[in-house]
Amino acid sequence: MSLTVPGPSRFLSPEVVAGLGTLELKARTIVEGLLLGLHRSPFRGSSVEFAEYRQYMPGDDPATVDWKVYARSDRHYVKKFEHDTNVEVQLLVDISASMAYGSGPGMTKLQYAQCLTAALAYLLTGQRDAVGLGLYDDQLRNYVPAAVKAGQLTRLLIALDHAAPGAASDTATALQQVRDRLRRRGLVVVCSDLLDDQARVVEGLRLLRARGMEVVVFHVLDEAELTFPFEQAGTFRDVETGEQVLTHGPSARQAYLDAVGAWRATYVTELRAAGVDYQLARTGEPLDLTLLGWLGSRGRTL
Amino acid sequence: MGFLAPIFLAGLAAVAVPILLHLFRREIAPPVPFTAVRFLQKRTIERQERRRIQDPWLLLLRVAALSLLALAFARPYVRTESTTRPPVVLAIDVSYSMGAPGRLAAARAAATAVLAQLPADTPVSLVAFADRVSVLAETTTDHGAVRAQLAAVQAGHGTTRYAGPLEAARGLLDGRPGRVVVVTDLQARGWARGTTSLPDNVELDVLGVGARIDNVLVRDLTVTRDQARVVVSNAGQVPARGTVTLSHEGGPAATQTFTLDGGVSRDVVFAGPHGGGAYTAQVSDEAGFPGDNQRHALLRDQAATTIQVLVGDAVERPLALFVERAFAALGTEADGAYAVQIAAGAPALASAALADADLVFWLSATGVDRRAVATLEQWVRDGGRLVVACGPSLDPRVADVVTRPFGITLSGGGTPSASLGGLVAEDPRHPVLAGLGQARQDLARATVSEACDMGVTGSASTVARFGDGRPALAEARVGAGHLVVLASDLGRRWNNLPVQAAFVPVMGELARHMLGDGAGARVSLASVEDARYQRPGVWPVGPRAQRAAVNVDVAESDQSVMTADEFRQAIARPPADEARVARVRATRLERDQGWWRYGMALLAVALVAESLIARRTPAAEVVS
Repeated sequence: MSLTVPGPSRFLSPEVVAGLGTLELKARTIVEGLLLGLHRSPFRGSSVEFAEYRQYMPGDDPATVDWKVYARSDRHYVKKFEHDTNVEVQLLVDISASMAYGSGPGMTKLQYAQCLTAALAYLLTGQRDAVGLGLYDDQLRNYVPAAVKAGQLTRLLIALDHAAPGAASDTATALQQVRDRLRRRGLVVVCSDLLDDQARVVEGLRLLRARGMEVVVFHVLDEAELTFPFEQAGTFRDVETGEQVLTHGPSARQAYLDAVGAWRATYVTELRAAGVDYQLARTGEPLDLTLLGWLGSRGRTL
Repeated sequence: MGFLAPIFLAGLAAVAVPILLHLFRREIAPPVPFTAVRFLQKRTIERQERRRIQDPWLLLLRVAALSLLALAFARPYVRTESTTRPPVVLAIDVSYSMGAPGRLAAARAAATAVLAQLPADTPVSLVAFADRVSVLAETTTDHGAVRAQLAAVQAGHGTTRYAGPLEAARGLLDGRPGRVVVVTDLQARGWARGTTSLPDNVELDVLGVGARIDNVLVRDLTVTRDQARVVVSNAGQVPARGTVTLSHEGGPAATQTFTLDGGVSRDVVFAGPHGGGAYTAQVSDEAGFPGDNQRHALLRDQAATTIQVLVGDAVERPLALFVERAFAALGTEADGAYAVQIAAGAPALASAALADADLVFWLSATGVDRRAVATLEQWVRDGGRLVVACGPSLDPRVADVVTRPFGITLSGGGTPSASLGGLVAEDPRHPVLAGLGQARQDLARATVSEACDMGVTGSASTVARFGDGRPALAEARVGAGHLVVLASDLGRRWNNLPVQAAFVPVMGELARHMLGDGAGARVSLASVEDARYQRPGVWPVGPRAQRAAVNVDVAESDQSVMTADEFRQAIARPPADEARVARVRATRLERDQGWWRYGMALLAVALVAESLIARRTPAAEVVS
């Protein structure tokens, strides 16, 4: 089952990204593509307390360029302010067994989540935000506290690169463990297929919101999970629970699509009600397009 | 319906494999891994479908393919009453006695008459025989072709032997019931070299042709430098007059007349001096057998055939005494002059020293290095003729170096034994022993006190044994080379063979056996292997390809005949092996019907159809 981006696109297809070398290269490629599309940085601080100069990067707001420095040195520098470095972002990636699923030649859900998270980490550390990482399945497996220090991005990328599919997912428990570790308000980004106890997941995210955190959920789903393209009768085995169901693809498709549609709709409704940003991430779609879609729907910059 | 190899029917059990695969195929198909199984509804109708055969045509074709394969390997045939008639083998005598005026024509007429009486669809084979057998026509229903072969049959130079054609007929019939018709002049000596058997399901007809005729023949021709002696015989019953001519190398002939009463032989002498070369003596005899009217002889230019006796050192020359004396005695024959040379020491064993030796006796190796004797092995391989006599002066371990490569091992020796006894023939028909006649008794009476332990393996064969059963005389051939090994000595130390009356004849027969008659000057026609020289004359068929005289066997001129009943009685008629007959019949039926070919063709069709149908059926989708 081949998934392709329809028509010519300036975005990077997941197949192309999957073929790139290291996770850092993937992240940089995604972010550079994203910034070229925006022509202005989505991140802009509001503090007046000066922190440092940084060399101008494509996407930076030209308003932040210090023209006096340019006059002296003939180089573009932008001024960074204290608040820009105080955003604490915790990236949470679901590494449960179901995330290893992939129906096409492109990425599995886990690979997609890795690239998405790496791109965010690259973007945020570039802005001197404190970025941390949590990998979880039925509990928090790997946790890198948010920090602003040299080598943080490398640590994050190494942790992400070493992520291997684990057991069944229990997002609520993982969120509880993360909640206990967070010291201050900030942003929590969750990349998961949310194939879990729906009520508990929503409750966990709501509790995070109650702690004053901004929460973003990237709902990573494979094309086959969204369209159920199977044409033959056969036994389907759940990769997490081992449950086997014998069914016939075409005749079971409509009921499946209805069930999945209702399940997603519940998430969208419940999470919006809780003030959680929800963004569907289809593994067949370009990563930068997914990021852009979220930013667009968010309607404001960080 | 029957099967040649019913064991392969067990392969029919394999048809269960595709049936089981079709029934349980879905059970063994791996489940599809998926994530959102919680949203799928179980469908109970699928369970009922699993027990059904999904692709009955595919199943049918696969079962058919396996069944056809098993059936084809089982080689089926349909048991039918054979419509073919029992085959007939016509065996016609072409020995030179059939060359008597009108005799072969009568034989042809008799055979043609038999052929004419046979139904047109009777399979017929045609065999011509003398001392060799040739199948002129394989089993065929084309009687015209058999007649054509029959018309071309000519009398040859061979001697009548009845066993050959009957064995050939047995092979041609291959166990089937049939009929053998032998057309011959019924010479009694045709059974002289042994009899044979014919299964009782084979009918035997013997058609005798020809009557006793008056025949004058050249019985013998010996040429020395002084004289040429022609022995002329009148095998008829009335006096005969005629001329004898003697020609030298095809040159002008000397002629003498003779008069002979019936049943009388006479020497006709042509005085010398005669030079070396080929001589032909011929009598004029229009009424007798043309084949025995002439005889060839060879007078060699060299003085004699060289016999070399090898001893270890000069002191042991007396060991060669008896061999030397024996050949000296044999050398008195006009055409069999032998020159015996005694050589001593290691140099005598070199190939160059043996180059001129026609026959070598190795009696002693005292003082000779083991490596030096190894040259004898190569000499034999190069066509040399060697007699090894194990004895007190020839250590069996040294002699073994030469004899072992030819399959004759020597060991032990030197242990006196009272139980060895004399020499007993292993096969009285062996040329060395057959020529001795009653003198074989002398060998059996000889006293042997000691002998080496001899082992005979591979292509080597035992000629005679001691009284206790141990091999005494063995021989081996390698190409033109010939090796004879005696396990006891020839110097009267371990036995008294040299003083037996049979000793000189044994030496003569041994030399005749290894070199040919007249020290290689005469070779019997029956022993000539080269087809170019299987006719009377002087040809290069002697030892080391020397020229030798080849003549017909005058025994064929013996007109003693037997009756057809006596002929039949000479043949053993064992009951036919019914199991073998049935097996041969089944094999023929299977071969003629060839059902397995149709099975294999159908198998190919089934496999092609199976692959076409299987390709049309979409494969189950597997999601990784």
